Amino acid sequence: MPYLNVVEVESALAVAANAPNNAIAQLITLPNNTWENRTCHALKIAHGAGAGRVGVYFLGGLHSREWGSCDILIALIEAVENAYLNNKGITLGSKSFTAAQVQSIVDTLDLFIFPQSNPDGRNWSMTQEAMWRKNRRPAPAGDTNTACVGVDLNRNFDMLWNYPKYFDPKAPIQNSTDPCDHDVYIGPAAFSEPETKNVKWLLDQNPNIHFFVDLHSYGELLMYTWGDAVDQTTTPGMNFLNPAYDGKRGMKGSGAYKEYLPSLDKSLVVSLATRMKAAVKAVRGTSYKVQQDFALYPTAGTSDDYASSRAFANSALAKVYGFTIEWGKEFQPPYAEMQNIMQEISAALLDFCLGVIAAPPPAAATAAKEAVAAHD
Amino acid sequence: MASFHVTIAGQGYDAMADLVRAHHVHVLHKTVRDKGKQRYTVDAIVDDGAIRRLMAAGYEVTRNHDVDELGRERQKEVGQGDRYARR
Repeated sequence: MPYLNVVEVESALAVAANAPNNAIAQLITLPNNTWENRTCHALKIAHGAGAGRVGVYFLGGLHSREWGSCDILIALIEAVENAYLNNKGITLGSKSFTAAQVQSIVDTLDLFIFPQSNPDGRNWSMTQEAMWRKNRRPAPAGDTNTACVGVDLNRNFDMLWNYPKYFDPKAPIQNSTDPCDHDVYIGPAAFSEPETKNVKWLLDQNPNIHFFVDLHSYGELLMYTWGDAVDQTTTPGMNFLNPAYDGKRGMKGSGAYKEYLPSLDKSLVVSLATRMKAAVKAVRGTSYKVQQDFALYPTAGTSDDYASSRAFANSALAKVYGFTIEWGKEFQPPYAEMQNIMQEISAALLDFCLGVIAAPPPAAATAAKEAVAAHD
Repeated sequence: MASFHVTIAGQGYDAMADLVRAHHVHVLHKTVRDKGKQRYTVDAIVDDGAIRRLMAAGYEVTRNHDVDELGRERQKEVGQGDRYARR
């Protein structure tokens, strides 16, 4: 079995929404076609409706060269549909989920799965330049350097996007305002790209989404927000919205700026990430590490921080807990190994869903309001 | 020009930060690992010239593989056609 090509991911989604799967699955057409005019789709899996259902959003494929993310999410969709519709469990290596657990996930949660958010880039990586990372936005007029094509989609989200304003000039941040940067050009504006607009659109359209997991490779990491600085839980006013800290973010050390994460939020995200770690390990013994996004190198404009930031920036928006998984030990493992990783990450995501069901209801935006108020 | 996947080892926060700040290396930042005693490693994709410059600056650089060569091998593992077409 080889990696799914770009056409196959879309075909797999169509099949996943056809009878008999349409009893629980609904194809969602994203509104913004890509630069190469591809239409993207997501899938909603749910049985039942009504208020109080919590939405969980799994995203894949932002970075072109990280091929396996799309394959993981398609495999997860197929496993869940097959198990639910046949009232069976799911076995992933040495880790098993009972039929009752699968039923509870589909009956309780609204799963939104967007496996292939950057099909243009994936196609380029799979057929031309395997290490291509960005999308395929055309190069600025007059630029013939092939590196001038594209935007790093995971630097294009509206969370500290304009990093030169927000970060310490000495911060070792790996973003670039140069359109010809081969890997990390942030784009001409936040949400300038159709692909990131699509990711945001799903959040906007579904305010019951409270959990967001973005799949990337590699590193064998299960990560939670924030990416711009070390987390802190004691000083709400020290946060990404506060202009008093502009030009000071992104450094490491005892006197450095730290990003506010309410302590209840931190407990929840650490506990969910720890559940995923245990699930990954149960498949075949692989040990992933739970950590905050920020380690030594800060990030800005990323999807998970954007998802987490929304309720802090606008208390009318739903509270979202953002995560990133960095699966595997290389961008494109041999497919035989990728199949093992697909099992591990599927197990992590299924156990994440069970953790969401067991978790207390998402906090209202109280903490967000508190953080905003603290610097008003 | 060939590009290589490498692992770079350095001593201390500033040395690792300088990979980005001073040497303009595209580190694969999620691969940074604290090895203890202020020693860190991080993976990157760089060309021959960068490897020489980093070694001259005191970093230890382990060359893992040629990314274009391996990429071409992996591209052979991408599906052709549409395996879902008949479903």
